[in-house]
Amino acid sequence: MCHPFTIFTFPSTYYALKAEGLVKNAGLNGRLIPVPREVSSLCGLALELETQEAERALGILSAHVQFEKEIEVIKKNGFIVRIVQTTNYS
Amino acid sequence: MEVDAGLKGIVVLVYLNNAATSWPKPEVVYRVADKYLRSPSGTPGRVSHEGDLAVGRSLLETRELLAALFGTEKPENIVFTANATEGLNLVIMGLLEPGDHVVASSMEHNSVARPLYALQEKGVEVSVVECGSDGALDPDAVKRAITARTKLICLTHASNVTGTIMPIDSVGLIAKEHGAYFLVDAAQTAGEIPINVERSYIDFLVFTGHKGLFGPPGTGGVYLRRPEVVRPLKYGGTGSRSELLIQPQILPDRFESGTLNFPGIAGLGAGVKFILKTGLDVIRKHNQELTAMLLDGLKTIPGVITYGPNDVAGRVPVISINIKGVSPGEAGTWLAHRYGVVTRSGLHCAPLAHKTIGTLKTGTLRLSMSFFNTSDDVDLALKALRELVREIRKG
Repeated sequence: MCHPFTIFTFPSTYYALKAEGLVKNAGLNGRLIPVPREVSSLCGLALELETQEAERALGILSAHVQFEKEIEVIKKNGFIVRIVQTTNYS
Repeated sequence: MEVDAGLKGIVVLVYLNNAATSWPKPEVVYRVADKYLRSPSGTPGRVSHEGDLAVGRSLLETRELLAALFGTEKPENIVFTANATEGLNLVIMGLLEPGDHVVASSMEHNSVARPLYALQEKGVEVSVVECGSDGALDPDAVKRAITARTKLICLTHASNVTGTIMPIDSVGLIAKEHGAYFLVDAAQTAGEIPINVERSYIDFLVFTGHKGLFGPPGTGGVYLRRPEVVRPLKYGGTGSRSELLIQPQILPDRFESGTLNFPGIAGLGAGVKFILKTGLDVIRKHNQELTAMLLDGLKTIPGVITYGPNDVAGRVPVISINIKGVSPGEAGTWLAHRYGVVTRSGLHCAPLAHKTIGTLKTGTLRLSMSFFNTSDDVDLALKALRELVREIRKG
């Protein structure tokens, strides 16, 4: 079953952890994952949300954290099968 | 032989060496540090499972608690170090270049004095502003020491020898007016006196975890208002930008290479939470009452010389004394063996301060208290000191 997700990457794990707390406090279902190699050569943490929640998350986070990228992906059985689009923030 | 064999049979009835390491810690500090030491976490922030994430979250929480304690809205500008010494070295060694001029007080600890002395060999000019015999600093003397090349003013927030609290607000303003960076060593004050990096114009605030903040040894950190002007002390893995061989510029990664002491930092977070929950004002009031009680009692013992300000408002709960007829080392040993009263004797790693108060040759016996000391502790320490003096007089 295919499902759209949005993944945010950050220049430091500090911001990833901060972002997780902020979206959870706002009632969103964000979760931290290792940065997938498919979307970035960086290591560290990324925040993954259902794509329908991404815009709201961006609104909550933008004043508080620094982003690297926002990547919309399609996942199947937990694995990325397609990158829909990438937005660079850095 | 087991590695903890040396701990067996230690009897401590009264611990008055909190200026070195606070003891005991709030129970929650032991519990939290133990919990994180037992957790299966490879490297915080290099996540593959929930244990790593829990550690990462606790680092974030501790950073945010420290930011709240020190009055900054930028937790990422607080970086963890192993102790205050490492934090002071980070700023001093990472900021100063040959030809720069530094102003420091004559009450600084060797963690400031030795890096500065080492840099003098490399062409950094150092001016030491003399303090009074009670350790007090005249801010105008700092102003007079400033030159056109002054890049940094280093000031301890309170002396670890005399307990004298330094006028950081005034000196911070002087630094700002003269375009110098202001470095404050809060080893003796974090967790005891309110610190606000904005109000006091502090560019670099260095703290340790294992004293007033009730954390485990091996924890500490630096708040850096101007991180971009400081070179890192350490370069290495940060869990970010790993594809690049250059050190990341982003905070806190720039200064946090290598696996952090995460059980210790989690414990430190628990200590800071305890302080915020208890209230710095409550802690300060308690410690001032004990300090007043001890100072008053010491004045009634013949042959005891006390150093530092008479007014408890001007000092942290650190009292240095000398006893006529006995060296501080012998007195400290007698107190520990006879009464289980733990103090510290010697130069306290601060020869400049001892020179200032006239005790460079003898050192002092230092009694330092924390929130977990009681008036009974002070009573017992005074009783022990009275008996010690009687024994000396008997010959």
